[in-house]
Amino acid sequence: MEPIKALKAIKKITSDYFTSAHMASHNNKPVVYCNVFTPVELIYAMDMFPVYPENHAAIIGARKMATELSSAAEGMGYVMDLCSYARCDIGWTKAGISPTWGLPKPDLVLVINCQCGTLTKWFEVLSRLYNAPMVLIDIPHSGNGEKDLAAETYVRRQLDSLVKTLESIKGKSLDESKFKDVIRLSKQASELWTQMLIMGENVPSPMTVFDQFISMFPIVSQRGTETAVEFYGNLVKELQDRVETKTSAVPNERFRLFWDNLPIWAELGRLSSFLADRGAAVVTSIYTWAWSQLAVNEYDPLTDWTISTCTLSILTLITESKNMLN
Amino acid sequence: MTTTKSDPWIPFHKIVQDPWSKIIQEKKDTGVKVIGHILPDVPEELIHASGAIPFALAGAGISINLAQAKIPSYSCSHVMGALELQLKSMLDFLDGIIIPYVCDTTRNLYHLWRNVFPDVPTEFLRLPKKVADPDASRYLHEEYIRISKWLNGITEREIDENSLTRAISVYSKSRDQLKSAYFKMQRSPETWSAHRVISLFESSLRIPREDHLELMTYLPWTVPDEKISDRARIYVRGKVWDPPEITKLFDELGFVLVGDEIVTGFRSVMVNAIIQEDLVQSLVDRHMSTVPYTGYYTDPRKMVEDFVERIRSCGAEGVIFLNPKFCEAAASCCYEKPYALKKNNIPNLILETSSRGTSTSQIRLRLEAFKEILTDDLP
Repeated sequence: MEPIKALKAIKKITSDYFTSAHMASHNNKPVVYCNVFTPVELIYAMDMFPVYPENHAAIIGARKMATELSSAAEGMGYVMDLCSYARCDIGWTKAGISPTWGLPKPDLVLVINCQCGTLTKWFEVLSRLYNAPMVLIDIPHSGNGEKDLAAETYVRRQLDSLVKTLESIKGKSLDESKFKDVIRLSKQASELWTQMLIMGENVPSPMTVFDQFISMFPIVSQRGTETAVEFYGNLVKELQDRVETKTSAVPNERFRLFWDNLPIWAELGRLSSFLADRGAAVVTSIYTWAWSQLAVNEYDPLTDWTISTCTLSILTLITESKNMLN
Repeated sequence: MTTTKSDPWIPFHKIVQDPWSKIIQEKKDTGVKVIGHILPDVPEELIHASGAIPFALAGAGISINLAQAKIPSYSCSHVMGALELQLKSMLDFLDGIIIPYVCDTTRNLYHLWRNVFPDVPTEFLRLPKKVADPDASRYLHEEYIRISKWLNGITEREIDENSLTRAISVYSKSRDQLKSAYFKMQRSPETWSAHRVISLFESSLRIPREDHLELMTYLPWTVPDEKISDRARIYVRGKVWDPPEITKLFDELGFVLVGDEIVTGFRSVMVNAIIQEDLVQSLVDRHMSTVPYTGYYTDPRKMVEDFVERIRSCGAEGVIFLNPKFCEAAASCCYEKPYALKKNNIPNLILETSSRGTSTSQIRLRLEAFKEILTDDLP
């Protein structure tokens, strides 16, 4: 099994990111806690620094620290049925240990509730803990992705209000030109991300979902930066080479599988080897396809983001991701 | 209407024990449409104004068997129980179902319901998660209009100004009566026990509200005040009365309910819709003024402060959290609210309940211990 060389850059990208996060306040960059579907482009355009408690929890899981930190949260009173992402992140505030040296204190807590309701409650905890203001962008769930004009108006107005809040914290107006630049980079990163996912169609597949999981960090937290574009550009190029040379992620690919739901961060290596040893390549996942739909246009990004988020349909994601199995 | 004047509570208990017979008979006799709604926060007035009878669905206390094949076992009893009822064909008399978006579980229940029961007309009430927000109010107004159109399609009757005014009046009158019953319970808890009073609330959600109002006229409203000094004044936060026997335990162990945020309790009658020119807006305002269910969002600090203030203002000596097992929203509040209460010297007890494994005896034991703490009656 020949490893993908481009993935080696992830370690440095992650390390640089968290160093910058902890230095953000010294560099006059207010820290904004976000969740993964936040329009992070706005944060970068406002010269603020987005920090993701979800990423933090995933890294805690990957470093096998979840048992200790979720226990710390349970010791505070949070029941063990609560999402382990939330428990891991909240737990570090009590236990004081974390593979990323924790997270910097937020100046704003921003959450979009189209993922799940738990995030809102989790971020409420963080808002109270750090005495930081919180903004919720409430996305009505339209059922089956059908258009809901009233919802679009509601969401769009919330984004306008968010821009005002960000401007008030930063003390300056949103630079439309810079915003468009960030949107352009974000779109490039999203398109490269989607190209990478489509590589799974090839037989044999040049990468598995375990590689996709490892490569997620920039598409989640650094959409709108050169870092993400450069990383995915290199990755796609290498994968194209692997397709041409029929270099497979799993030697003697016999089975092509679909991964449903979230990664089991603490067991990626073991599961990957277990399946590869049996000729099973997990070539697609609904989870990684979620980031394929986040690119918006430069003309009116906030309206475009509103429309795509209000009609985000899990059924579409399932269809697109399962196409990779054919 | 027939009633047992010797024991006016019996009709209400009967409805709680068997919520189906009366409504099915009503449907047979009159041909009226019946719309089921998963609790909480579906505006019953809209259903009433469309000419149908609203029928509340709650899964607490339902023995789960078939539902486990359709929904993950780590779902709350409320949702699993409702699904179980439909799988057992006990809801076949309904002409449609409205599932509100109050949490991830109800959101997914809607999709599941549509897949498993494609022939059942099912609508999703897209409740905004923000309260006390003008934009959320505007959105909810549009959403209520959308739901009204769906109801019109089922009942083939337009919701108009007259029908909505009538519905709002009936429900306001009913809520006022239920509120009076709740306050009566605090002054005369022997006669107006928690078990009896909560059965009024529960039954009101399952028969025509006009009939319920009439049945309530036979209650002993003139009974004199009783001695309450030996009772512990409690406030309950949670979703539904789960397990259903819990109100009996409150009575037996000497508690008196001075407030609650249960969706089939005082929360459901706390606020009336005030008739104004835009009647749909009246319902929106009512929703936005009601104490937010745990899945809604308000300013995080204010949320805790307001909670403590509500408890202080009703003079509760202790708080019981009746958290449904596997409810993420309730689980997320297991630290801040109890911690805030502790800082204010208000004891609290967290009970995690489920129709799949809650032991009533264990709950009794914990309540007994809590009563000892509240009344300083420690061994």
